[in-house]
Amino acid sequence: MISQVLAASDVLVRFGATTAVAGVDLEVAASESVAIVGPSGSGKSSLMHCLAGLIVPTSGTVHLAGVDLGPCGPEQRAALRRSSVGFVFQFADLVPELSLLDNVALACELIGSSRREAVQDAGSALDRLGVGSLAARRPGQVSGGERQRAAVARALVHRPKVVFADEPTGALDTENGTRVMDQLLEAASEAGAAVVVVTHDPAVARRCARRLEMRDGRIEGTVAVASAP
Amino acid sequence: MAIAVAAGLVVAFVPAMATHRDEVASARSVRQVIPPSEERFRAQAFDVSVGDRPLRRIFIAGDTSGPVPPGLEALPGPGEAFVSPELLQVMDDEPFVASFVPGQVAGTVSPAGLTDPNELFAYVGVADGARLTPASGFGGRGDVEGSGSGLIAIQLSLFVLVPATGFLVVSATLSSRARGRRWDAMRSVSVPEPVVRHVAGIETGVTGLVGGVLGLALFTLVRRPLTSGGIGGLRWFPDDLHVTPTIAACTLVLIGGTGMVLGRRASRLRPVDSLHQRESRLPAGLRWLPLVCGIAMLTTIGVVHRAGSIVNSAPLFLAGAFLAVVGLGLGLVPIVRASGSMVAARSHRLGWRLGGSRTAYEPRSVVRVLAGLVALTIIGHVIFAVLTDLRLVVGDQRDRVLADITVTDLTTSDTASVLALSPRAAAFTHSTDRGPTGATIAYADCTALATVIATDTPCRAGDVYRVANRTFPSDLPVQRTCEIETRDGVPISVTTPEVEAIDLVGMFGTSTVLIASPPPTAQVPIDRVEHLVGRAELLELQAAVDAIDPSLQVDSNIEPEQIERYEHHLAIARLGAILGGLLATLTFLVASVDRLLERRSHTATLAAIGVPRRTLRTSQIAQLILPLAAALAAANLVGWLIAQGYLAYGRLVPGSPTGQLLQGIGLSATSIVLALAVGAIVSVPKDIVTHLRAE
Repeated sequence: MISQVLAASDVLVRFGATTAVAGVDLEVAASESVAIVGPSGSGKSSLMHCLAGLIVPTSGTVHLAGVDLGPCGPEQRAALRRSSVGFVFQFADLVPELSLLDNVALACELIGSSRREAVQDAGSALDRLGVGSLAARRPGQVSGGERQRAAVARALVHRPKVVFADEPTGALDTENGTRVMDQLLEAASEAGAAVVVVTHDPAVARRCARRLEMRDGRIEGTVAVASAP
Repeated sequence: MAIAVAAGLVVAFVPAMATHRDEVASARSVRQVIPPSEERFRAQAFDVSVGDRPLRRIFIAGDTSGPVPPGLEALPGPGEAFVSPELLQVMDDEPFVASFVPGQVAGTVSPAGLTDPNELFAYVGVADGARLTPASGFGGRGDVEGSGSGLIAIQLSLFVLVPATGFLVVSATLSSRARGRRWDAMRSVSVPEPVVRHVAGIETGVTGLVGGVLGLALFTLVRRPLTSGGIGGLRWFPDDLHVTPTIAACTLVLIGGTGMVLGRRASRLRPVDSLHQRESRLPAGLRWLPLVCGIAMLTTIGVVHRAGSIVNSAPLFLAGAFLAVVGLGLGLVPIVRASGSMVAARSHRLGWRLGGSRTAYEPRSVVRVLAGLVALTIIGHVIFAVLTDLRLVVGDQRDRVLADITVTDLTTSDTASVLALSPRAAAFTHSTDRGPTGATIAYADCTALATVIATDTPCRAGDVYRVANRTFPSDLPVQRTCEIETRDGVPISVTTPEVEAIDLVGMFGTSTVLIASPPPTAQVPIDRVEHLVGRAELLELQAAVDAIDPSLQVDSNIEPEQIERYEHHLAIARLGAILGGLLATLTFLVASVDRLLERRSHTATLAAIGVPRRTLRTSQIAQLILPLAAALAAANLVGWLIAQGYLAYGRLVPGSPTGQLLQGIGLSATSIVLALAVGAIVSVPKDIVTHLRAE
């Protein structure tokens, strides 16, 4: 039996009179990569935020790493995100005043690692993503691609069950975007983490094992992609 | 803007009001004449104090058809008095005060002739003008001491205008940054640059005008309670704070015009701001050097003073103060950065590490936020040191009041009566000494001296001393012969001995030969009598002297007018400190909230990856408290050292303004508590997703 790290059932998200997500069912298995694509306003980011426990659905249920998010309060959901979720945002969103090493180590410290262990793990993660030599630099002192690779390291260093990536290559050129996606999927696969990518970019979507097309808050089609790693 | 305008009007009005008071005081002062041919009447001002309040009486004799001072329609005739309404009230409440105003009260002095509604003032007509001064009218300046409007203006300007300017600059910066996007949008649709700048100028100008109108309204609102309550005894007439249409128009034009200019300047295209990454051109060592040197010089002054020596070096003090202030300006960024780095490196708490890192990363913008509070702290220390100095000048030791009475024209028996008014009295006469420093001969018996003297040798009747203290030696050499001529013309020789009477300089001066003997009033003509009395006894002494001869003037080292002036200065300084403190704190809070809001997307990211809310809150609070504590600690140290140095250099008085240091620390603590509150309130956005999307 395939273990599901993420399961959503009949999820409805409303913002006032606007329905952002209209009854979505979704399951994501461990190590699986899923791309959610669709035009702007189709509800893909809202769905991702809902799956990650950042917003509470108006109705429906979401299970993340086996935990039903419904009864969880903000602190419990935050604790679950610390331990089981990694994020990669469009603009990396690293803490600007911390070095790349400290940014990555932060994710380890949040799950209770000692400072020494966190730094050690962060260094290894940065090395794996090819930016170990830049560990002491701050995000503002490295390129966009390097910054995004550090963000990938931060998302995976604490061995989460799911990584959510919101337009992870949106701010990068094609070459850097391809490289970052390669490294994200490869590192996630090594860590056994599922990856949920929200993107406009068909090339990025094609890299995932499954592609969900959203329109008007609904999943209108699912495509299994052959070229996925 | 409205608050700044109202504060600015207070700053503008209060010194003007003080100047107006000086003008009234000058306009009613007696214009004395020397050639008798120009004499129109005789008049003289006599001051007494009623409790802590000065009562000025102008005695007038002779032709009363002459020119009248402001506030009167005619001069009082013999046996008549015109009094201020406040004095009339006090005379009703305290009958003994009426004894200071002989004659019948014929009317009151109108506000035009009074400096403030609380003033105790009277014009008294007397029949005998023998002891009064020939006068030609009113409007002389001789006996009028200014109220120190210059010092008041400096106090208020420093206290209020510096923080107000900081507040306006911060507000304008935040406002222009918010509007910058709109101007960029206009440029992106090809609106010509002059039009963009014109729009920006008009926007800011109109905002300024609205702020100006609100400020005038706010000032009008606070004018009434200020007028009725006064500030620390300093009161004024309602008309003194009247905003005329001209003042209102000028204020609005000034603010609107300044707003337009600032708006146009702020809308100029400029390169990407990378201020937080810009490093100072000065090497790190040089940035610290002025501060270290300044602190070292001021500390030296303090240490030397505490060791008992005089540091009579204005250049050393001025250089130390200058270096310390400039050094603090240069060193504030490194100080804030160092505090952040230290906490980031050493704290085991994630929240403090995040806050410390943030502080170390962006110290310049933090310092801009803190500049008003830092300036206010230093200004506060300096102003209160100046006030401490003023207090020492008016006489801090209020139980040791020196009451000086000139008795040259008194009969022998009256002089003896004046001497007998208190047990601690000394009589002075002048010798015919022809030395480089004229010697004064003073008589005081051992009983009188025992209460004030601290000689190393016991006082014996007939002993002769040279007066000195540990810092100032006697001006008279040993074995110098001074002569006094008795009433009979017989010379008495006094030879200055080696022995010195210590700690009597304040009473006798260093050119005095002191003879421990009852004053021989019958033999020697006495020039003046000095009583050492308690503050509470002064009024009693004045009344007793008045009973002996009403024309006798009792001068004391504590002059009621000086005390009143000091208290006005103190009250104004406090008002300025409160207004300035409010403005500086408001600036700090507005800018801090803006900084925290600006960082909400980062905070939202941290919240998204699961950083606990408590950690985020600690981080936000640390970002406010760390720079605040570091900067204010440095400012308090520098301000306190400058204040201490100011009081120490060249002075004999012990002056350690620890109270001011505590007040400074109190201000800092208040700011820190406010920062805590702000940090706790504006800590973590509830809606994480909105801020993530905004990014």
